[in-house]
Amino acid sequence: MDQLTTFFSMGSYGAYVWPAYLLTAAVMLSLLLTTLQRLRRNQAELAQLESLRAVEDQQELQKKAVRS
Amino acid sequence: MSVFHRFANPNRFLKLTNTVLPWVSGLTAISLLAGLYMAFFTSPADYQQGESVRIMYVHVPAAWMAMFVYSSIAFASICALIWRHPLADLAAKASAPIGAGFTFLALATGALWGKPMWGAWWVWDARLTSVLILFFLYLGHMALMNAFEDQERGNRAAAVLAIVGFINVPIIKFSVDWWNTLHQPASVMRMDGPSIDPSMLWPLLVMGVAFKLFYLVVLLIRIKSELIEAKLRKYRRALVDNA
Repeated sequence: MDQLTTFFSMGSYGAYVWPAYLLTAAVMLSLLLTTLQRLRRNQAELAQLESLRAVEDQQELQKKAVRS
Repeated sequence: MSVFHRFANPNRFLKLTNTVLPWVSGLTAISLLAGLYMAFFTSPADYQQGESVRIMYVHVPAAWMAMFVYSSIAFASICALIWRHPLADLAAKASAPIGAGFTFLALATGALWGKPMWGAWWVWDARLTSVLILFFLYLGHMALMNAFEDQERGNRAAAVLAIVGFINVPIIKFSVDWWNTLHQPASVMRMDGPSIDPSMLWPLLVMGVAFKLFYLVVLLIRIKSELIEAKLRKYRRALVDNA
C-alpha cells in the first residue's frame, strides 16, 4: 500500500506527471476512435450502395430478358 | 520513382494496407506497453528534476511527432504538386489532424512540465512560440483543405501552405541554440551523439518508435477511409445521373 502511494505521488510531482500521461492517452485514443468510427460508417454506406446497385443491375437484366 | 508509383494505384495500396495493418497495430501496442513500463519502472528519477522528468517520455516523443508529421505533410505536398501522385493529397489530408493532436500534446505536456520546473506554464520564448505557430499551421492546413467547393483547389492551396510553412521546422529545431531560452537544448539528436544517459535514452527511443507506429496505424486507416469516401462520391453521382 505504501509502495502504491509513493508511486502515485511521483515524488510530489504527481499533480503534473499524471495529467500529462492522461492527456496523452485521451488525445491518442480519441484520434484512433474517431478514425475507426469514420471508417466503419463509410464501409457501411458503401455496402448499402453496392447492394442497391446490384439490385438495379438485376432489374435491368430482367427487363432485357422480358423484351427479347 | 518506380517503387513510389507502384503504390499510386489505390487498389494495390488497399491490399498492402490490409496485410500490413494488423502487424503494425500489434507492434504499436507492444512498443507502447514496453515504453510505458520503462518510463515508469526501469528509468531513474532525475538528480535535479526528480520524478517530474517522467513527463519527458510523452513530451519529447509528442514534439518529435509534431515536427515529423509536418515534414511528412510538406513532402506529400511536394509530391502532390509536382507528380500529381493520387495518394499524396489524401496522405496530407489524413496526417494533419494527427499532427495537430501531437503538437497540442507537446504544448500541453510542456506546460505541465514547465510549471514545476520553471515556475511558469508558458513563456514567450522562441521554442514555445515556434511550436505554437506550428499548431496554427496545422489548423490552417485543415481549414484550407475544406475551404473550397472544388476539393482540388483546396488541396492545392493547403499544399502550398504546407510547403511554405516548412521553414518553421528548422526554426523549431534550432531555436534553442539561436535564442536565449529556458528550454533545454537538444540532448538526443546532436551532431556528437546523445548526451542523455542510456537509462533515460532507451525508454525515450522506445516511446518515440511507439508514437511513430501509432501515426502509421491511424494514417493508414484514414487514407483507407478517404479512398472509400471517393468511391461513395462516385456512386452517389452515378445514382443522381441515373434518376
